[in-house]
Amino acid sequence: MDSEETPRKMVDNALKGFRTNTNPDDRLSYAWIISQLIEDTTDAELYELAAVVAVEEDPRLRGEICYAISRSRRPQLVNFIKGMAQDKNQYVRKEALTAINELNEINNVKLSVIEPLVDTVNELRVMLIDLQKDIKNIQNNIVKPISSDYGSANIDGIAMNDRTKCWETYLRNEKELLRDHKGEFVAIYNAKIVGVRPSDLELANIIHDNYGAVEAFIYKIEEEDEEPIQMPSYMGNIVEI
Amino acid sequence: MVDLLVSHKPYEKKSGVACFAPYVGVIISSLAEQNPDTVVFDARIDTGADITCIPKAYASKLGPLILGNPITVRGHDGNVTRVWTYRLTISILAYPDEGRLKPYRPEKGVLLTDSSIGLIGMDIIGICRRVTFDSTTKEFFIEC
Repeated sequence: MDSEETPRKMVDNALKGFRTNTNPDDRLSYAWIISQLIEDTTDAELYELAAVVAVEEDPRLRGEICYAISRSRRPQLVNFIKGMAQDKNQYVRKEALTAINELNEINNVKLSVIEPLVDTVNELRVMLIDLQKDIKNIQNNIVKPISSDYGSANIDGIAMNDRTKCWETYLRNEKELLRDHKGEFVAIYNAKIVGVRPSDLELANIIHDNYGAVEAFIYKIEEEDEEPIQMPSYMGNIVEI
Repeated sequence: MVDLLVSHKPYEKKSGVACFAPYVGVIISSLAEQNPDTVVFDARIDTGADITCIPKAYASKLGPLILGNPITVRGHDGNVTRVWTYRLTISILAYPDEGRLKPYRPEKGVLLTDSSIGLIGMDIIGICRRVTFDSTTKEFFIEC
């Protein structure tokens, strides 16, 4: 009888439990198991876990993932915890710094390199929020990623194209934009905010005056509608330019 | 003031479509007013479409486009995907006086499709004052 709980099987069960459970205490228990069996966890699984946990409300989970990554002795995951070194929660910051020190010892990386990377880290944090949404949707079989969303460029191992970078710029500033400019429009070109105006027409003219006829973005500043838009069968397939 | 933009326009039957239906002449153009490029074609008034759909073949003639917020759509096969929207100015040509037009800039942007027929969806229809379909005469009216 094959009833033996191998470490790998325990990791599988813990990952499954983590993905399906919403109770923070239960999720923390599963994270503990994964931390303890980190050598039996693959890079991809750890990436996925870190991406999800990085934006968890519960600071215990964010702290635990820092610990798990430090135990993994995989310096390529250091980017996940760099962002958490600036977490709003003191416990998470402490865990993140401890983990960075651990990984620094392994990789002989100086802490001084972190400071110039703050922008990159912040971008990564927001990108992770977006990825977390997509991961959840994919796990729930709600959304299938389309190839053009995750196209060409590669930032620290995570593929992004120019369009996704612009959307990521929006998401990075979404909280402040919703607070100060809800209902208005924001123009983004080359992953940089060009302007915020009540009129999309005005922004389009600003883009054209400054950059010519280019592909740029004008996003309406609003909370996203969760309900998918229904497409009639006769309209053909949605395509992109 | 009520503007009777389209008056007594007969239903039409387009190639590849089974029935007579209401079509309007539309002009699409870049959101930036400095860009003079425009494309004219017919689009069907479709209360079943939540969002206006433009054939890619026409939109691509305008050069680089302004993109809007990505949205989630559920296709007829049940699959849900995330797609980009595009921001265009869509002007409906008056009828029978084709010298007039009424421009619209759908807030959610429009979708591009591989179809040859454009659909004017509820994002535009919903802000018209009144749309009337006369099944007796097979004509329709749009008031703005």
